[in-house]
Amino acid sequence: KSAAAAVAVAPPPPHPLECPWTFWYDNPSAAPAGVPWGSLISAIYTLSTVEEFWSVYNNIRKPSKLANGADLHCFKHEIEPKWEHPKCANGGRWTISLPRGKSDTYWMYTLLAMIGEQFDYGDEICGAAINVRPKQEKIAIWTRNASNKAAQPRTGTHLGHTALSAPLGWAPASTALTMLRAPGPSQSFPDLSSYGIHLLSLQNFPCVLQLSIGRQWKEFLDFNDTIGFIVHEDAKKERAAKSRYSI
Amino acid sequence: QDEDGSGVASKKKYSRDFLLTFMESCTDFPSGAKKVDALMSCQVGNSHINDREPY
Repeated sequence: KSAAAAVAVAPPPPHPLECPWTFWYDNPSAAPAGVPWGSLISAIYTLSTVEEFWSVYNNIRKPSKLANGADLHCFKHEIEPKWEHPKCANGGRWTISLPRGKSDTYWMYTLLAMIGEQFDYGDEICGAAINVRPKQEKIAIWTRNASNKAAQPRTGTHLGHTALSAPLGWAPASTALTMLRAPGPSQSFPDLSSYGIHLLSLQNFPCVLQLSIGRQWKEFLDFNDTIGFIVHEDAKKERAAKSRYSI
Repeated sequence: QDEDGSGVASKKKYSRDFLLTFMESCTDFPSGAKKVDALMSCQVGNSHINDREPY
């Protein structure tokens, strides 16, 4: 056969993702008595191309078809979907709650936004989880640095300097400052990256990053209800932990 | 067709619409993937063709 014919039948090269992602499955409620919560979690597959993503996604059940109690995660490779994991321990999660059977499309769009690197601060994302329960399905995006404890004492000066060195500085910086001082429900949030304030400086202001991720997630899903961000540390202390931020 | 048209060497970004174009063509469950019954869709559960032992 000619070389041209060989080329014609060769499959197109796969499309690599920015980083590998692992699907995890667990159903703690179905575990035998005495088995510690979460100890039977299974890593299903680690994928690193667009094609591999679909090969897995197309063969596993959509959330609406999963049993009550099931937990499905899609996390960056080497980050276990556990609060205790070093990359998650200081983090938290944005959550949306949907009636049972209504989350399939939201779940798919969440995964596509993550693996397609659509978030401005995607480096802060650990992964996404869906918890299937009798009356609702909850989708969460887990992020790495939830606490703004370290940032608060020097909020004013540090972000002020950042703003001075940015081309269009003060307007977005003052908005962010207001939000840092009084995190709470917010109607809108400026895209700081367009003002020249970049991740390097914003790393000191986890609140800003979390709000950006939450806002973008709602946009990607076309989801209009208010969503809340719960810090893992708060959730450990009390079952009905209050949201630190909402957007 | 990466979406990032900025010309800056950056992340491998793919829009949702672009990713969706591959949905129909990637149907084979990866051979190295773990099959958990409660997670597998019916399509795979009913297919015994690929389940034979290799020997």
